[in-house]
Amino acid sequence: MIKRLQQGQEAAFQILVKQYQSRLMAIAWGITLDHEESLEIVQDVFFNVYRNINEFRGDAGLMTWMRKITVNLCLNWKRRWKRRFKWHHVSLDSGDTLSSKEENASPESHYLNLEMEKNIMAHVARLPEKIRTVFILKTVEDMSYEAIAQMLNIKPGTVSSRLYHARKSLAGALKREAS
Amino acid sequence: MKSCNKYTPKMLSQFVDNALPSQITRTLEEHLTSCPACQQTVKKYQNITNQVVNGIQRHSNRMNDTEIEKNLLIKIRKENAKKKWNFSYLNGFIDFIKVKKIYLQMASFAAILLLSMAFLQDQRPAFHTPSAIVNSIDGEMASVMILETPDRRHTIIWYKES
Repeated sequence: MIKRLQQGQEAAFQILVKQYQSRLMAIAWGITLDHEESLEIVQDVFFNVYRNINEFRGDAGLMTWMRKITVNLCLNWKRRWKRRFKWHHVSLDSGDTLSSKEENASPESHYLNLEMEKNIMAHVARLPEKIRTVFILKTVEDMSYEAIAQMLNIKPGTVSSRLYHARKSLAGALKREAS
Repeated sequence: MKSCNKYTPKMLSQFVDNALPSQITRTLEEHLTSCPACQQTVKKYQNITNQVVNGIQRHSNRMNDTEIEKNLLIKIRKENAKKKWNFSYLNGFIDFIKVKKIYLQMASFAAILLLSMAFLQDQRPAFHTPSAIVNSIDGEMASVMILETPDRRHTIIWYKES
């Protein structure tokens, strides 16, 4: 695959996009919570791979490399500034698409699940970006503390603290809402 | 519900992440079977994780599969066209040489061109007159004159024949 990518074969890039786009999109959207921006970021990640594939040494996996580019692009200061302006109008409305698990659930439980998710995502959006990034990398990609620490250039202890902080904030917010 | 002081919420968070040393994980697992407070906290953290994963997954599933691919291919083709445009004249010339198989002729032509340029470069205007006399000494046996031209200094010595 990498050889074909290094030869610049378009078909290889198409396979690469199909294989990894939803994973990268999940990370990008998890951090930015902005659909258009996430699309742009994921596109840029693939374009970066296209441009620099000859420099790819292969000592880390392709996904590790792309994940790192995705996070770096999400945390790019220019994008962060733009995002701050847009955040006043952020909409976390999710459509009514059902995941395969929920297709068999009753309409009531599906509605409740959707509401819960909507609420929790609204609270995730309110988490500080540093904490949200760590939380998303752990929940979506199930990365180890060490891997997250290495990627973000922080200590594993900081990763642990941020994850705890995220959970505590989300649990507190949900509890306040319920009461 | 009675709270539990044996394990901190932070440790329970690490337990959910499977980030505790195996010995502590085993002890905590045993503890969980008999502690409703810790059980509830762990369940709460796990639920949060599941809800977030589902929320993000649902959003990713809504994505138009072909959008990124389509835009990326447009970008790649544009980039390739730009690269091609930059070297199109040079590539055309190389193709011409390859098709006509005139490597030797082209090499000879390039060599002649280079030699001619080098030769022409050496054809600077000659200075037939000195630009300055630096010093001249007249002696009984000989005379010495030091001249300076733009390139170098010359020393001329005359000896008397008598």
